[in-house]
Amino acid sequence: MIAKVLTYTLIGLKGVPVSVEVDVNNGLPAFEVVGLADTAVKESKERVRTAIKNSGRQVPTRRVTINLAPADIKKEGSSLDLALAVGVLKSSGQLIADTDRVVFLGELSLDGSLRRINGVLPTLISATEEGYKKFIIPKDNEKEASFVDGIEVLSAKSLTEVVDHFSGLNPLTPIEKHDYKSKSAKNLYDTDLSLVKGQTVAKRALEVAVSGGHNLLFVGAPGTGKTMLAKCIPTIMPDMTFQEALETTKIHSVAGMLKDSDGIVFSRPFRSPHHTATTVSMTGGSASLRPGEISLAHNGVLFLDEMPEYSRATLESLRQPLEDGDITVSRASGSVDYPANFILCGSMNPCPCGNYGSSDRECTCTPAQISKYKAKISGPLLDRIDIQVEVDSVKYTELSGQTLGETSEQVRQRVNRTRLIQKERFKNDGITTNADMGEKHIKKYCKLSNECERILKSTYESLHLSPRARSRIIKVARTIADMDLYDDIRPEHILEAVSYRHS
Amino acid sequence: MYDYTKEQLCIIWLDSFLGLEYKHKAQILEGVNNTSSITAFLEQSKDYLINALGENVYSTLKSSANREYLEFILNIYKKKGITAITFRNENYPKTFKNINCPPIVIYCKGDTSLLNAKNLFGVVGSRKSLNSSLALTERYVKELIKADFIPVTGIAEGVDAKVLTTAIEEKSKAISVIAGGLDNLYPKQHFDLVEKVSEKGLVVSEYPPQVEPRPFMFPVRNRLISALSIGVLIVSGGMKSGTLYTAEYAEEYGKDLFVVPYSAGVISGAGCNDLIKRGAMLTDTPEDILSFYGVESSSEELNLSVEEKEIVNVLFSGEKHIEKISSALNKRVFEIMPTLSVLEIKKVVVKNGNTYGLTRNDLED
Repeated sequence: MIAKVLTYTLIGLKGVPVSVEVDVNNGLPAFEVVGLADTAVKESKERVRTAIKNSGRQVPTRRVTINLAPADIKKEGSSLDLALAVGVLKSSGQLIADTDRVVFLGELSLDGSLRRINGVLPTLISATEEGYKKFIIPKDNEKEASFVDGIEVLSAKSLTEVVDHFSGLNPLTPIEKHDYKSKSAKNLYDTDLSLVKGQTVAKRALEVAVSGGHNLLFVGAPGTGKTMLAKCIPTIMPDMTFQEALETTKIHSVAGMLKDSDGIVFSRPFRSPHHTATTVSMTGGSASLRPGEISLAHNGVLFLDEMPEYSRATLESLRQPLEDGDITVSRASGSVDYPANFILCGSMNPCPCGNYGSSDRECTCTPAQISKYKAKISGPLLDRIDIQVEVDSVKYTELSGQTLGETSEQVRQRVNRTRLIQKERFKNDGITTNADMGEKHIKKYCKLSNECERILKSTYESLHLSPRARSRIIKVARTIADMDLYDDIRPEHILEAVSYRHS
Repeated sequence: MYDYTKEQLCIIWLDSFLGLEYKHKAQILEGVNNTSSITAFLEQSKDYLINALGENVYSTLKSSANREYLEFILNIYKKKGITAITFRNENYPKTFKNINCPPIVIYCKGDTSLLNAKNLFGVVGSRKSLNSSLALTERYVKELIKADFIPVTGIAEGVDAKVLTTAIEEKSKAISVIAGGLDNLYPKQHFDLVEKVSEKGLVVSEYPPQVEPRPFMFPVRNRLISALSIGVLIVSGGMKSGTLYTAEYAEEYGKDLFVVPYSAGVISGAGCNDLIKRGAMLTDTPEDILSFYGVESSSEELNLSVEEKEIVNVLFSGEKHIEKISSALNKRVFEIMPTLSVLEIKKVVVKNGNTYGLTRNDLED
């Protein structure tokens, strides 16, 4: 008798339905899995056999053939175990129930218990879109499943519970639906802007950057608190909307980085890969097409400490995602789109030894070393970094360390307001922040008065700015004007924007 | 051929041998007069060559003593637009005649008439200078050019490059004396800069083009900068800076030496202060130099707004961090940032990190 059981496999963030067809036939005892299964799936037959046995059922001593359809899609991971086991039980007549339109997800342990799997949230979302309404998932995954609307999710601890449910012996109750409520940021992050002493300029630059979604670069001697400042970025970013949280959770779920306790990612991610990171780890890839650091930072911050130390190829690979907000990872095994919309925050020293430009410490670098160090960050990449700001060395911080600055909460409220203005302005343009503006949008939304044009022109001549700096300055000026609630960009906005550059 | 006299050709021929030391070349040239050809020239100096350097050297030179070799090197110079000027040329700088080891041949690219100009003024400084020193350089050079001086400097990063770029911007002539041969710039990335300088001004080297710069050549080169100029301005320099050689030579050759002072503890200014201690003229505004030479300075009126004036007043007591300026004025930091940018554009203040300082001291009422 042939049994069909439905399950899902993930390709990138997209779930693909897989029909597990099990046939138990006469012949020499065998257990065959066909249908483009990867190693983890191939191995699952051993887990399934043992789990069935240890759940008090029998593995048929006949020829068992399992087909994973459609056969031309590569199936990955261990989430197919449960469907396989249910299929075998059904096919051998040990379970008689209507399981059509029920999606089974879960990895089996040898003792028959169900283990946590990766990627439940994206799977449920994909399946819901295709009209499936009923799901069986491992108990450990129920938190992340509880945020999906309009479906019935049953969570089970073991294969026995699943069988008992369908045989009517001990029905499971659907899990409780959670409504998304953004948590107060105070409890989400372990740092706060008020803890950063001094650094008024850098803090202001931080607020401008986050308000307009601009990427930024901190330049300063080692040990001046660049990392600390960067860590504060998520704390002043606008609250995550449900959609954003869902997108981020999907990626983290696929990567297996979801914390049990939350089920959904409430806090904006802060990713800070070490400078030895490879290009693939940054962009995503490898044979299994996993998301990279830039996708894990989606809706959050990608912090590159000591930016010039990263390999050239790694840095250059950021250019296209910075432009488009997503990345297409293409490998022999397939091609996957991951979102990658993040604020890039870099930090660098003024020179390899860190003392360049300081009046009281001698820089020991040769001019060639310094220009080589600076040239590591290419012009096209620098073009995507609208704000460059110098971070003060400690002595100034000590001087002004007495006053406690604003808290992240206070700043975030202003950021929320500024972001709202931008959302309203760009509602028909397909972008959300000032940083996303192209030349077309700049022309449309950043009309400059003659006075402003004159200032920009004299700035070029006097400060020897590159022509590329023009649109950067205008975009940042637009954000500052938004922060000040001005419709038009005024001279002082241009002038403040001018000061966010590294000389 | 090539607009050189027979005698000059012999000198250029001799100077092209890199293996011959300066003292030998000078010795040979002393004993030789009125030569009609290289062979004759070699014949005249045969005794000295064999006595001092041996038979081998002589025969090597002899094998190159022909028209083909000479044409070969002259062709190279011509192709690269290099004029070789020997110490017996009319336009050889008169100021070089009385210095230690006057160059036998100088290799020039550009307007060679500048070599004997009376209005050359040396401006040099260290490679790693503060932003404020660079701003100061720009201001001095602009004023000097306005007063019809032609700046003379080296080619390094920092102050030297600033002198040259400012001169180019002001569409003025400038002289750059480089340490190695004209084909071997150090730093290499200043190739374009040298090309631009040679369009209107002059680039000079005392070595044939193919010579690579070696560390000892840099201080030696500095004697030429000092020799050419009527006066020298030292903008910045640490205790061990090569700039100090320029100052030393300037003193030795009796040139007017102007030095910019620094506050205690600034590493890139320690050498400057030392020079002042030893009697160099202190200057902190271009007018010092101009009035020394009796030139009227025509400084433009600076129109500062009330806000700008406020900030300038705060900065009179020295460079300050932006937070100190803001607390002194009782304003938020981002409220004064636009005004600081204006002052920066007007070149009244210079930014170093988040610290701002005045570039001039003539703003007090």
